[in-house]
Amino acid sequence: MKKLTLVFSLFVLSGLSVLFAQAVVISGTVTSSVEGEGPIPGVQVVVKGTTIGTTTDIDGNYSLSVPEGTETLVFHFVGMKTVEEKIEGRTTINVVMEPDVLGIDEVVVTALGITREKKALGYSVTDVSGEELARVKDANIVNTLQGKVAGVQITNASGAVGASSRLLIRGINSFGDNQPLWVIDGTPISNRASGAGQWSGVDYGNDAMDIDPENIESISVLKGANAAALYGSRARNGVVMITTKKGRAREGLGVVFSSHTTFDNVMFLPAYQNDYGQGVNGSEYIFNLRKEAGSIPADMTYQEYAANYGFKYVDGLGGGVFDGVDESWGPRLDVGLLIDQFHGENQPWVSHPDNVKDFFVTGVNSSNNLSITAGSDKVKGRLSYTNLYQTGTIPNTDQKRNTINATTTVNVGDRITAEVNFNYVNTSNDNLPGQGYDVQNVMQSIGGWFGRQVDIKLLEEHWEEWVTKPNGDRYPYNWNSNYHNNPYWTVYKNTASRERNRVFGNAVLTYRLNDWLDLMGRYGLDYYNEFRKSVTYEGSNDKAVGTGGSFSQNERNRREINTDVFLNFDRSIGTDFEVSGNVGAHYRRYDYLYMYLAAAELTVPNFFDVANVKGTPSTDMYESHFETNSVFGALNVGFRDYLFLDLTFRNDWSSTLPKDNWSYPYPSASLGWIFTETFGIDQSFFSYGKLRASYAKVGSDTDPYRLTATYDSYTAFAGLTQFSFPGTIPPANLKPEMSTSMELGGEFKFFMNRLGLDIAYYNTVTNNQIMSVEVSRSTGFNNMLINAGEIETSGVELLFYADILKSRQGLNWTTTINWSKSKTMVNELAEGVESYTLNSTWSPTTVEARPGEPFGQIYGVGYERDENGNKLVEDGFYVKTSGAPVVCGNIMPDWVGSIRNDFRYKGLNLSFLIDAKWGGDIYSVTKWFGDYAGITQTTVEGGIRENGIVAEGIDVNTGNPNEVAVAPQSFFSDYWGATEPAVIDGTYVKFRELSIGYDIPVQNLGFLRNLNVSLVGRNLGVLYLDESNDIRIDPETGYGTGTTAVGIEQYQIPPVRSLGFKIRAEF
Amino acid sequence: MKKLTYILFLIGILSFGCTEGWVDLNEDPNNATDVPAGTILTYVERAASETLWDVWWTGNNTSSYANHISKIQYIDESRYVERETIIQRWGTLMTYQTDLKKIIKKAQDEEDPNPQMEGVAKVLSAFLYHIMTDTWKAIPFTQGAQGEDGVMAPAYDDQPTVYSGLLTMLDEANTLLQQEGNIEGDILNRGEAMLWRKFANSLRLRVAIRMSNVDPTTAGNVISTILGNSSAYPILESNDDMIALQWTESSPYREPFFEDQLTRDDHGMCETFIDALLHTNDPRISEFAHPAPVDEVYRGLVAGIAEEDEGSFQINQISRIGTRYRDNPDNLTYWMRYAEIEFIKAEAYERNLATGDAQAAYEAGVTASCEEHDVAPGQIIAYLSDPNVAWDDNTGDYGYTNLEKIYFQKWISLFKQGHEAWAETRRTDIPQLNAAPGSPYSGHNRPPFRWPYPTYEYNLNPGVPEQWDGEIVDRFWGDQMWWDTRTGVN
Repeated sequence: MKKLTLVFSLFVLSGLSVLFAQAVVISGTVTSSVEGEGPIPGVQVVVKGTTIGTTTDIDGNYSLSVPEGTETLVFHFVGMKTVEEKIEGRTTINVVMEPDVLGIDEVVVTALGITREKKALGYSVTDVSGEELARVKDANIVNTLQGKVAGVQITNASGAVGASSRLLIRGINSFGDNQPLWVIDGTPISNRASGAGQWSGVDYGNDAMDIDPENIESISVLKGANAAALYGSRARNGVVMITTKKGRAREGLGVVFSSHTTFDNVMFLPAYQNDYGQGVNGSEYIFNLRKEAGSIPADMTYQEYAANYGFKYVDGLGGGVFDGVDESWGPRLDVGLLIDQFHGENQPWVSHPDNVKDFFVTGVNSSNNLSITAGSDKVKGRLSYTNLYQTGTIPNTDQKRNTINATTTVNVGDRITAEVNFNYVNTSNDNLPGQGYDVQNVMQSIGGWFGRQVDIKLLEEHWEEWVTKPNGDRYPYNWNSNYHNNPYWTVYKNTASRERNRVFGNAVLTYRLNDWLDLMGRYGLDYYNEFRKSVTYEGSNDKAVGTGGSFSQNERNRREINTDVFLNFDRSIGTDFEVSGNVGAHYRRYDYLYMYLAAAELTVPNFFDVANVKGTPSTDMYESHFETNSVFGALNVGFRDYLFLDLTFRNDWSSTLPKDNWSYPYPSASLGWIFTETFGIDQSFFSYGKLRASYAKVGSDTDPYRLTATYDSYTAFAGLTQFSFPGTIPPANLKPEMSTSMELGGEFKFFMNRLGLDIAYYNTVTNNQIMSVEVSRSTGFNNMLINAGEIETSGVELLFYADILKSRQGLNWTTTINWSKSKTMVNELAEGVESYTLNSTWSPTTVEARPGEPFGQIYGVGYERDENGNKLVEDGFYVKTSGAPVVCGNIMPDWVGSIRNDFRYKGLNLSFLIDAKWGGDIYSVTKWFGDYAGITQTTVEGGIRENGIVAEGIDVNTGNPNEVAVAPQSFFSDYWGATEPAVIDGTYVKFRELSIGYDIPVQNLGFLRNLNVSLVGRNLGVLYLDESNDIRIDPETGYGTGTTAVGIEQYQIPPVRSLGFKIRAEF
Repeated sequence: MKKLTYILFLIGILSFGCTEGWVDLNEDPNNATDVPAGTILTYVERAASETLWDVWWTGNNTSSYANHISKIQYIDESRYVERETIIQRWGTLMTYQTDLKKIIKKAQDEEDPNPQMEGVAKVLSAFLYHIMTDTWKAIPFTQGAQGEDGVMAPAYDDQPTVYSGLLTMLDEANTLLQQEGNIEGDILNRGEAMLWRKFANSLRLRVAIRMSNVDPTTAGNVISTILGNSSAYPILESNDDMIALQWTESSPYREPFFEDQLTRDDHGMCETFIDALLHTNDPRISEFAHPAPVDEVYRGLVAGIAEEDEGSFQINQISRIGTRYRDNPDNLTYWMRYAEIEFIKAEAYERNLATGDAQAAYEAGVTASCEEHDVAPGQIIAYLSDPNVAWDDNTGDYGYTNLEKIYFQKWISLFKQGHEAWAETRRTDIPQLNAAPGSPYSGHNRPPFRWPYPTYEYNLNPGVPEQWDGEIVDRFWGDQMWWDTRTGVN
């Protein structure tokens, strides 16, 4: 830190010495060349090669102090051709801008926050405007990018409020982290995700969801290492660069109010059956078999059988007939049976088809934003406040967020610009739902292990009541007391709360040395403190009466500092060459502190304080620190505005690596060639053509403290401390991971830009993967940390758009298609390592990387097949494979794509987005245990509970098609131990977004300048699912944001459909 | 230009100068790089007690194979539909060997040697390897747990090699434990070197008697040597010498069966066991089991009842496991009990592997087990004279010989030592048990012979397990243990 302060003071001092240098004020008006459009507000006026600049006011006027010696001003405006004006001694410069029909002067934000013309780039960058993001808002900004960027794949972790989302750019590069870096106004911020695990937990979201789309001017997605080489290690997986809205020079205040409210409902639920209720052996098939076998009297009625052999409630603990069972293999519903149930004796045995649906409620997602902008040419500022209030579709779940965003830019003299970006975000939740295969996840009971006859209304009405069992024990009112809580008890009693206070932002000082050189210093901070507390009440299924209940709470402090200093240059050499670039240095410091305490039992029931612990509280503390240093440089050379070469170089030093490997350098190069310009091709047909090629290397470090073995500690046993040697053999000499990427692409526009195509092919090879490989447990260890292996991802991205209708006064229709395909192969692992387990779930299923195979193979026990691919059947059951695990699927999708249509007619606009993921298998526990437990539609279809199920396949005993019928409950319980029946194809097509907006004419109202109302919808429907997904789970959902968290589903919270309205008013 | 040079210089300083202190910065503040041997010992004793004697290993599997305990809800494991995660405790057991190696290394420190601690680690190592070999047959013994030394694909040893190694290891331990030193962190044997010696030699008896059908010479020599010199080879002498871990009153270290019954009710008494106790008027029955809640009658359930018969009983008609085994948080986990030693002696004398009074040893064994279960002295005398128990060939309901009576009583005394009871029923075939009626593997007439190797061994230890895997049939049968000389079983 001391060194840093020194650098800064020197930096500031060097700037002060020229504070009083001569300056010239230039002013003027910018107008449009299009008839009737007049002055253009919001045009960026910049001193060429610097960040010194201003924007035009509402009347198109600007005024700018420029340093002595300034030669050229540059005028940028979206949709207009960029204008460069030589000053040549003038103090008034009026500019007429022409519409940019070809869109070739579009500017994008690139690495380090440097704005560049898109045409000059030799790699792929996609821009998404803030307007487009805010059109149909989601509480998580990641979700709003869905379907908007080719090559980006988004996975929402669940339908729970506050849930995290994962964003992958160009697929998988590593066995470790594949999340891109998030950068706001040049400073990296955390997007750490705290998703639920597959076995339990609460999804606390991903950190980037603290960003309010209303504050975003634009997002540039830098894809892959090529675009991101200058950000170093962390940008290997691409960068999401966010530029926030800033103040503008203008008269008076600009006030914008926007209000966005949607009503959220469950989009769809799994396909449950409503023909048979709770219990075992209740079907007519088994009833008849038993009669034939003589094990029940021949004259026994189905009513007698059902009430005495199928299901009879006594205590819900197994004391009656299958009343402890949470499966639906019981008697048939709706045929007039009377059976003892949890709510009374001899109750009608009838179906409640909406019992799961009725548990969910309508959530509200309301976001209100007020922003004020003001500014002169000296000082500009914007202040914005957002309040988000959200309730979930699961009762008693919520999220509240208050965001204050302030930016100020001050021009000190004509050489120094100071800018401060500040954000304060407070996020709080009273309760977030439990997820995973856990008693705290309501879907584990009502959506999985359930009596399909249960009337959820009864559970809602009586959840606060207690019942005394025949043995004298007390239990909360519920349909089953063996394995489950009443779902209302779970959501109202066993809460998981959170409060987070976060500050992030940066301070930037730019000092202009001369007309082609400036120096920039930036100090960025991202800090938060987060507090979480989970409580479980006595009487819950895992906290019987007498235990007092339990709780756990933890606090975490995370701080990251990013400082950089760099020198930018930009000058013309002769008339043909334009040279720009930078050299700089970067310092990063990361600190993390964590404290945890928990009580497994309490003395005073339900008093959740550590002083009240029964026994020993569990405690934990953890801290983590590391630093990285870097130097970097970039050189961009442009030749005659059609040939562009970029070279970058970076060297990182990371404290997490062994001393000898702290330092690692890597380069990149890219070339862009606008051949239509070179050859002067006629623009009316082939309007614009550009080819791109690039190559980059990026190194990557590891987490701290991985170099030496340290003992694991355990809660003391009767006061005796316990340690064990870790299960991972530490690495001998860890080296940085290295990714090498190349990209080839082209951009082609036709018919004066009415039709456009952007295509890219890329290939990334990552080797020296830092990975923890499994070793034979006979070595006395579970894993070994090594540097080895090679994975290769290649893919194609396609962006196509067409302005099908274009008319200034009439109907406009634009179609945009994004499509991308990526494939990751595991080329090699370490010597002697045949398999790397990426994830594992219910035994025997694992997700693996094996040499020569695609990444993400689902391995496990499948079904044996004959040479024609028919499944083999023995005694009515499928024959499971034995011995080595077999491939049962692959979690990686074949392709993702989207199609967007925008219509505009005068003040009315309509846009909708449909997106799809094709392929990518999912190991679905909802399907697996849903069939096992007899709750799914599959388990009743085709009259199988009356006649038995005849498995489709070849009988190994006869060689002919199987004819042996077995009881469905036996057939589906044979799923246990097999992987194949749980694997479904994760294909989906979804109606993702809809917005119908209208600009209400407000010309007559002086105070109101713009008023837009729109109807907005997200996730409106699922248009297609693969037939193997007969359970109808949402295939988009994974349980978290980890690399392989997709592909495994365990009682997902159902997806949410949002429909609402938005009002935006500008004053 | 001067200014520019100055700036570049600053940039240089910022990046190159800042690596100082980095070695410390990357030193883990959260975890220790070195710890006292005693803390590792506490861990191994506690953790192994959870691994080997919780409801998953013992309740669901081994005690069910031995027909002591039955699953009464979610009956899968009693039907041999197992969970791979339990088979995968192979790996957990092997990590304990790594921990024990660390203790041995510390104990062998030249500056501050501690032979007693080394002896303790060897006893535990032998104990754990013995359970592994009796579960999986061939195991990596000589090359096991040497991952840190680069042995990444340890070869498997056949059982004769493992058994002979175990005998040697335990002999060494007995010697080491007589030397200087102190035992720290010992929650199993109170840090008493003498108790550890008794444990070591008693365990040696257990190993020897197990191999006595296939290598009677070695077994006889070991047993005679130990029983012939009690000062050089002390063994367990009374119920006070019980090798057991006592759990704590409060979470997180409560007895595993107790912990489980707080939320689950999946385990009841096995029909075979309850019927045997009832037939023989066993006074221990009220200690082993609760009567069925419905009618206060002792009633067990067939281990692994057929699916179609599941509706024929209600769980409250079945006896649950007794108070001392399930209902108190601070109950014991039994590693080895004194009664077993008397039964080993009785068998050795009866089979002339050593010389001594078989009847006295047998009756001492029955008495020890009854006393352990707080049976009144008068009741013990009555029980010993019951024809089912009395030292008299071919008497009682089962018509057992005296040797078979030893086996039968030993089986009863090993309640909740699922592993040992399963091993002994495989060796003696007393009582004769049947395969679970609900087993998905047809054609077997006995409970499992062995466990399959965990799947990860196939993936990660190339070539090694395959030669042994060929012996396995239907996951749990195939080639019998080296010491299992039963015929006509499959």
